[in-house]
Amino acid sequence: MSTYVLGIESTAHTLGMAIVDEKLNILSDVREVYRPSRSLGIDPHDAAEYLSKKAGYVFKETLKKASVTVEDIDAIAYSMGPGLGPCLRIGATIARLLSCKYNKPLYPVHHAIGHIELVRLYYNLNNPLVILVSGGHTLISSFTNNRWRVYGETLDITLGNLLDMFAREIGLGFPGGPKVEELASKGSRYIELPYTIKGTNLQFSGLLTNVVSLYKKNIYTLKDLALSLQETAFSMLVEASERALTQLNNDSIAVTGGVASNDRLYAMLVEMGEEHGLKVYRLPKRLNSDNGVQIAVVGLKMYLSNVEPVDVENAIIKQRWRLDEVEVVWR
Amino acid sequence: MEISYINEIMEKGRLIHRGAEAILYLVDFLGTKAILKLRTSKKYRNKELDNLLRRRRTAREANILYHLYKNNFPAPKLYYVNLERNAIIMEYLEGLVLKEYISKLENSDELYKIGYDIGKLVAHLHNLNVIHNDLATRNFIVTKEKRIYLIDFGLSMFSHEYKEKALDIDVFKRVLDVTHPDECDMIFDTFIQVYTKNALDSKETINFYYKLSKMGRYHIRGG
Repeated sequence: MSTYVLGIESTAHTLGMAIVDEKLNILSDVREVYRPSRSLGIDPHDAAEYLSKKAGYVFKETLKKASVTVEDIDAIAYSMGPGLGPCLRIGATIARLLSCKYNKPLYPVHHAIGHIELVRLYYNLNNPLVILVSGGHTLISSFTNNRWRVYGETLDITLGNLLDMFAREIGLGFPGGPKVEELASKGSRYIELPYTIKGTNLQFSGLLTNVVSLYKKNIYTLKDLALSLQETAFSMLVEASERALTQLNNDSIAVTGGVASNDRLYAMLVEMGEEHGLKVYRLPKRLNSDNGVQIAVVGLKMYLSNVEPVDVENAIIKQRWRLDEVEVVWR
Repeated sequence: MEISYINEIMEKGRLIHRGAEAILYLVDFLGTKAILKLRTSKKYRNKELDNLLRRRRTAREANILYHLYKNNFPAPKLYYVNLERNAIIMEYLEGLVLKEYISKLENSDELYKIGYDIGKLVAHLHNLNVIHNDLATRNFIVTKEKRIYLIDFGLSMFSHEYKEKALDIDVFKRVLDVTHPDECDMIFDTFIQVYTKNALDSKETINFYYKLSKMGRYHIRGG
């Protein structure tokens, strides 16, 4: 008899559902992504409305692709937070509904722990330094005393925000990361930009303001600005990661989250890792961005470790929820 | 001073620490025991950015060390700087790194003294308009006489802004939280009291620090 866990992700623009089995096989992974208009960022209510309209379709596809019936599912996991309230509520509502209707145990999952545990379990890593870079997070974490401790993080905006907001300013649209990466790959000249690092913590907002004002002056090419932005921001992150590494005893490096798909960032981390004799792991690109799999794998671990499920009335959401608040009892 | 001389004392010296941005050697500099700090090139970094960062940080660190020396602040004395080689030669301080010193402590009264001394030290630093930017417990040295010195000004800068001072304190608290979870409160509570009493603008700084620490800093995407 196999064990099947359904994961539901809805912290921001993605509604993702996935089914995994006890061997961590991904049986299905279905997503619908809300795209804001060119000139604006995410409107949480718009996004939530979009996600709710897609929910029925995503759920049916997830079962169909996995060739699993809803009765076969052993447990349901949903992203409890952190994220945008209206979006989180969609996922939590679906999870509560399915749990009541089909009488399945319900597990709340921290979204960032989903990203982190997915890459750790995928490559069976022992003690990685994990760099999580996305639109929602920019942090450097390592596991000690049952918690994913945060050894460094952004003190203002995230790396994903930085790239998206720059892309929006120069008219590239959303999500900006891949478009900035493509533009930067054609650049040739480095333009000096503010480089702000405080120990193992980072600040990106001064960098954003500066690069946008240089763009408006119209003296540099867009590709050189994109190159300089990436080189500066990524160097800051790699330096902070290296600083964290010198204090810890990690045996590998993992990078995850949407920005992990950037090949320049990955190449820089590989070069830094080589100096320390550490391999750098990253997931197939599709699994870096938000998805139901990351929620399902944590739910599976909780279910298999006999963690007490939550009652439907306690299946709430947490818009703000620090990674290091979560005690990892299922490992 | 010739670069060849720096290379020569480096080769004769002993590598004592390989950090994230520099390598430290214990050297014999003109007959005196000293630390040679070399900012080495980072392969992962864009060449121009790499050169720029190394030169700027070396120059700034030298300026700050000299400023601190002039103001009797307990930090290594600057002996010599070379911007072509991105090299700084400074006083060698003998002692234990605070991180290890804390882990070897047997009685908790000492933790208050550490909090007290560091509170005074950081207030003094900030009163000189210097922000350290990496107040980790591996960046303090405790000598045999139990005097505490601050080292590694590689990320430091001049600023009188209370927000920057608050960030300095925030970094210190974060490091205590993760590296010394059991001792953190005892050290930090005393630190804050003493800092408040001794630092200029401490009210603004501390208020802003509390604001920072409450933010939780989980940024929701979309902005």
